Amino acid sequence: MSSVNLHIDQLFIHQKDQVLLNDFSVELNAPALVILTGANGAGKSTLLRTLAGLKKADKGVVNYNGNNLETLDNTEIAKLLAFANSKKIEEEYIRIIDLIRLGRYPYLKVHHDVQLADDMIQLYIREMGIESIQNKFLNEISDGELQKAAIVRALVQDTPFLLMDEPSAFLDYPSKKHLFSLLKATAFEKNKIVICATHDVELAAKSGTHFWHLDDKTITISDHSIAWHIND
Amino acid sequence: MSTVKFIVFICLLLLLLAVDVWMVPTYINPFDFSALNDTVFTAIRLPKALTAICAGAALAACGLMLQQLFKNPLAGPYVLGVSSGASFAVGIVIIAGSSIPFLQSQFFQTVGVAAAGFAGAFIVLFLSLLVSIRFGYSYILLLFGVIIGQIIGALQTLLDYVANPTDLKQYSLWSMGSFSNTIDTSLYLFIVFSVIGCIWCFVLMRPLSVMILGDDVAKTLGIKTKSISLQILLCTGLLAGVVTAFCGPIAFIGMAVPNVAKMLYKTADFRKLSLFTFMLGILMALLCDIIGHLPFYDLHLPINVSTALIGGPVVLIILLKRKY
Repeated sequence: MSSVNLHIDQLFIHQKDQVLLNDFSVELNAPALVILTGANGAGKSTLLRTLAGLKKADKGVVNYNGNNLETLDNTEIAKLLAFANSKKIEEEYIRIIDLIRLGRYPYLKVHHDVQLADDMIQLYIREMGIESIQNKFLNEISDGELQKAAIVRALVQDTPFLLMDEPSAFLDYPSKKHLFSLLKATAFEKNKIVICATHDVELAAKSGTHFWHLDDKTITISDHSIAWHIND
Repeated sequence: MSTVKFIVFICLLLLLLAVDVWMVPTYINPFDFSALNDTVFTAIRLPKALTAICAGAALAACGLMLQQLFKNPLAGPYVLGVSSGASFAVGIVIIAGSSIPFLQSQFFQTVGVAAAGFAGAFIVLFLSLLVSIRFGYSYILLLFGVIIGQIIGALQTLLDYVANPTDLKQYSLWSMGSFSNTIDTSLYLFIVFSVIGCIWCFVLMRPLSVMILGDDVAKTLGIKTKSISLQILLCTGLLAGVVTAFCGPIAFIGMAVPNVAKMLYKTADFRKLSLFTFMLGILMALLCDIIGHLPFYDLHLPINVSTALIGGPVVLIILLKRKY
C-alpha cells in the first residue's frame, strides 16, 4: 500500500490585518484523523481553506505526498484532496444522490453522461446511513441530512487527503459519534489523512489520532484531546 | 420519465410553430406549395417564427445562467441592467440619430440599432465586471444592476422628453418588443449569434452544476470558478445584447422560463436542463407571438404585453409556492 504523507513547513497565515497562524510545522506519515479545535474566530476555517489551496499562505510550504499544490493543475488537485464545509445549498429540485455524484466530477470526461463509481457511492451512502433519503430532493431534507450528504460527496471524491470544516455541526448526537468513527475507519482502510475542524471535542476524542489546538496564533499538537474549553 | 417529458414538449413546440407560421393571424394552406413563394410566408411568417425561436432560447439561456450564478431565482438580463443598457443605447441611435442625416439611412437603422444594443449591453456588463472583481458574484452585483437600470431609466426619460414625436413613437414601439423587425441580414446575424450563445451556455452548464456546492467546494473539485463566472457574464451579455438589439427589451421570458424548467424537469444534469430550458423559452416566445397575432383583434399586440400577461402570473406562482 502506498504511503500517505502530509508535510507542512513554517506556515504563516493572516486574514485582513490579523495574524492567524505563526510558524506552524508538522509532518504526518501515516493514515490519521486529525481533530482541529480552537475558539470561534481562532482561524480554523482559514487554516483549512489555506491547506485546500483556496487561500494563499503568507509564507511556508504545504506538501501532499510530496506535491505542492501550486505545481498541480485543478483536476490533479481535485484528485488529491477533497474539501467539505457546512454551507447551505440554494437549490430545490436536485436529488441527494445527484448531489453526491458531483463528487465524481474530477473523474468525469466531457462526453460522459452517466456518472461512474456508483458502487463506491452506494457503499459510502450506506456507511453514512442515508440510503432512505438518497432519492429525496434538496427541499425535502433537513440541515443535518444535507450535511451527511455533503460529507459523502467529499468521501466519494476518493482522495488521499480530506479537509472538513465542522462536518458535525448540524448532526444529532448519535450521528456525530458515528461520523468520527466512520472518518477514522475510512482513513485507516483507505490510507487517508483526514483533517477535521470541530467543536465536538469530547465526541471526536475517541476516534481522533492527532489533536491540533489552534489558540493565539499557534497550534499545540498532541496525541490525545485537550479539553481546552472545560478546564479554563 | 424525463425522455417522455422531452418528447411531449418537442411535439408541443412543433405544434405551436405550425400554428405560428400557418395559422395566425390568417390561415395559409401548408400543403399549397406555391405558398413557399408567397411573400407573406417567406418574408413575414418564417422570419418572425425564426426570430421568436432564437429570442426565446437566448433569453431563457440568459436567465438560467444568471439565476445559477447569483443563486437567485429572480435574476435575469432585465434585472442585471443589461437590457436597460441596450435599450438606452438604441434610444440614443433612434432619437438623437434622427437629427444627423447620415444616421437616417436604412443601413444604419438596422445595423446601427443592433450595434448600439450590443454596445449598451456590454457597457453595463463591463461595469458589473468591475463591481464583481471587488465584491464577487453576490447580491451586491444584482443590486448594482437594479440601480444602474434605474439611473439609465432616468436618462431614458430625459431622452424621451427632448425627442420629437415621430422618433419617440418609433422608439416607443421598439421598446414594446417585436419579433417582426428582423429581415435578411439581420435575421442571419441574429440566428448566428443566438446559436453561438446557446452552445456556449450548454458548455458552461456542467461546471455550473458543480458550483451549486459553493465556490470553495467547486474549486476543490477542479472548477475554475472565476473563469466560469466571467464567461457567464460575457455569454449573457452577448445573448441579451443581441436579443434586445433585434427584438427590443423583452421582459419575463428570461426570468420565468428557467424557474418553470427547473420545477418541471428536476434534474442535476444541467446540460439536459439547459436544453429543456431553451425548449421552454422557445415555447413561451412562440406562444406570446401567437397571442399577439390572434385574429380576434385587428391590432398586433406588442411582445411585452403577452410576455407580461403569461410570465407575470407564472413568476408570481413560483414566488408564492416557494417553501420558506
